[in-house]
Amino acid sequence: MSDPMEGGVVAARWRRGPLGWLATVDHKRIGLLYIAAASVFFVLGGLLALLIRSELWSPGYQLMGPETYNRVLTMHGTTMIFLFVIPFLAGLGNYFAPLMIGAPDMAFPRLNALSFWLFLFGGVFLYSSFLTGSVANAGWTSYPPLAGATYGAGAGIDYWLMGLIVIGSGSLVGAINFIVTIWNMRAPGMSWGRIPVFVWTVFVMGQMVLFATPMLTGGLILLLFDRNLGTSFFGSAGYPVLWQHIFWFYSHPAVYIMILPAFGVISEILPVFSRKPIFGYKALVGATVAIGVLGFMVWAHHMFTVGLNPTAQMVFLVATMAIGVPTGVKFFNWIATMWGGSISFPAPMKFALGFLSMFLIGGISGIFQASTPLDLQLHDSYFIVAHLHYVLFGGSIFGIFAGAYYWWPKMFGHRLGERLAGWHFWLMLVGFNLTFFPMHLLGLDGMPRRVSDYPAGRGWETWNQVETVGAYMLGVAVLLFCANVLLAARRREPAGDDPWQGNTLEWLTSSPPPAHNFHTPPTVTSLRPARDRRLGPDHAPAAREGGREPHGNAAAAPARAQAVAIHLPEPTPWPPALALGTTLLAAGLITTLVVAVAGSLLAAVALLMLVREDLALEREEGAR
Amino acid sequence: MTALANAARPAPRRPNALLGMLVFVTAECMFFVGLGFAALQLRRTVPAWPPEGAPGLDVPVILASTAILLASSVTARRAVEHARRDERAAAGRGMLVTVALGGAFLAAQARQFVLLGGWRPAEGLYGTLFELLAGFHGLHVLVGLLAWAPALAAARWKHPARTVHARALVGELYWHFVTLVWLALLALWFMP
Repeated sequence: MSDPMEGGVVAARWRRGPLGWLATVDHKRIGLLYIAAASVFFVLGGLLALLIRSELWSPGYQLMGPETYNRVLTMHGTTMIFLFVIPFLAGLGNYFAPLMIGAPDMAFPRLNALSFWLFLFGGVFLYSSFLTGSVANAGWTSYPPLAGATYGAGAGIDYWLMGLIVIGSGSLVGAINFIVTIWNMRAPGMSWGRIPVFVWTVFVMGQMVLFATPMLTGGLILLLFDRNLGTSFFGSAGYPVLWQHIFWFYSHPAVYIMILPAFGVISEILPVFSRKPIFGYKALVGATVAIGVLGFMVWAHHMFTVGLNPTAQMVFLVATMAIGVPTGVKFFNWIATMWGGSISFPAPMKFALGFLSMFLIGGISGIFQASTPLDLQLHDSYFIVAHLHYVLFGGSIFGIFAGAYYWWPKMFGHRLGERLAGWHFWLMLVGFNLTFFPMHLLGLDGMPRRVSDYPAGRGWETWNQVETVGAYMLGVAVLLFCANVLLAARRREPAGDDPWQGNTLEWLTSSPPPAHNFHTPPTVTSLRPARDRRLGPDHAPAAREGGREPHGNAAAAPARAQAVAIHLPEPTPWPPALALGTTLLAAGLITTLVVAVAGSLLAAVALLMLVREDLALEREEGAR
Repeated sequence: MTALANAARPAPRRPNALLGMLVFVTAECMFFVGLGFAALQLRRTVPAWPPEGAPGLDVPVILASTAILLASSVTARRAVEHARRDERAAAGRGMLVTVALGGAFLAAQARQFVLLGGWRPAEGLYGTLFELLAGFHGLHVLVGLLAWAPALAAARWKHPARTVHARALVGELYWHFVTLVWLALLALWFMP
């Protein structure tokens, strides 16, 4: 299905070997780097989870004391949220958003590399605290005074704070790139009403990162000051609850940052495997935007027990319930998409349906907690742990695996094995429910979360053991996925350009796509350009399906687009150098000043070189 | 980057670099919204504002630095206009004047810090909070100075005026943001 080469001159820019990956500015390679690094962190976070579940097998201390438990718990949450789910979805967005809008790359390829390296170096720096013997132990929420200078002694929390600042900067740079790319780089004819739902969700996710992350950065800096410079913003002379406001102003939207792209993945998969167009495209997009806006108005529902004034509690209660409405709209749209369709159940669809059913449970238990009186009871119990895992595991991770199976053939040119995928899915679904469903019951029975031990004789042992068994089943399920990846890579069964008979533009190019994505810039006349092309000109609708007139030169859309010279930027080592310099600067500020000075020098040199490259590029363009 | 523009694509209404800066400035505003929110909450923990016995701010110095920053926004605008009208040398000079005014503002801020007695967190909320807000604003002024570098380099190395203009527009946007944040912080600070 790939376009024939029509005389386009393409600048070769893929270099082989590790240096080629280090210096790459190609969005697909950067996407794969994100996915690979995030997967490593997923394994680390999963091992930490298994440690937690092993410790809770029975009352008393099995493996570790409370201090180690607190560290493991903190790093599990931090890893899964900041180093796995968010960057993995950013990786999928990086790889597929430009393809799906028919762009040759992201708007800022070198900034794209910078955001990846900031994430990776920040994550490595965060983990390097294990070498210092002091690891963050105040939970992923790090509330002061627990995380303050007095009770959070040791450098671990400083590493955590600085690491998150660096990772957050990477996330922010990536968000800017997504927004500008989707705004400016769409193929001719792709009006706002023809942007695939996945790309919409990435766009809204980017906006949420944009508005939420800087707040968190501010809060992290204030806490660093409290811990190291003797201020008392969150201390007894200040206002401890302020941290919770700032933290949740970021971290509640972060929940949607982690789920919206998964919604997008599901919205791409369901129509393809139901052989129907997506039902209610506009409502789905509207609901995505509504979730993006409402997501910023509900943060204090994490704080019902701190004693906010009752009016404020009521406002947050209502807003939280209200956010169930656009989510419900999405659910009904997804169901209606499948309704009457000719449904098949390959691995992506299995995981998509797993997502629908599991996320639904998490969504509904969320509505329970929105109710203040009930939340006063449930707060800080295992019910919350159950809820958040149904949303983030049952939602985001099932969505991530759905996306991985769906796009694997595009990324690597071969499919993953269906049989093993089936085993992976069922084992994961059963293991997931065994692990997390009993937490609802334990929570209602009053078992507190985040505690390294629980009393014997409360009848909690059985459920805890069921959960531990479930957790190990999850571990085996992930191993099956890894085995599938390895076996498929050995088999190398060619998948073809369009194995699923897809709808969106990425299926129009080869698998894996060439460096410049499309030989001829695709033109778009409907929501399903790949299907239009497959079925031929008679089926391609006139330029009206998307609603308004398309922008650009869509008038000429049906005519075959001209092949043009696509000039892409050369690989450059300076984005990783800038990221390394920045990370060293951050690390040095809380360790030794020499490192900070060296880091800022490296960052300054890298910045200068980037400006130089940019001007040289401009001059070259002008000359052409 | 412009490198990715190609003939089949209509040129976007706003170039990527400018749109990117606009988006970035939005995020930067949220950073100051966060700090401002924190400042307002912390103000409520003391009975009176300014608190009893708080070190005084030197109002003439603040007025002078504000005037300098406002003037620099004007010179920034004029420099960009020069670049648009293809007057590369004048644009370069205008940007240098802006950078110099920015430097003068930073000097005035440093003077204010000295008057407050430097960083002494134990001294109390008033001084600490002022230095926090003004300090982070100052850092952004410093970044704003750097944001002129691409345009200045383009002017210095005789790139076409179109290149200088495109880059200067990006620097200018950031510069006005820095000025506006300073005005907002002043309003927040002196609000009764």
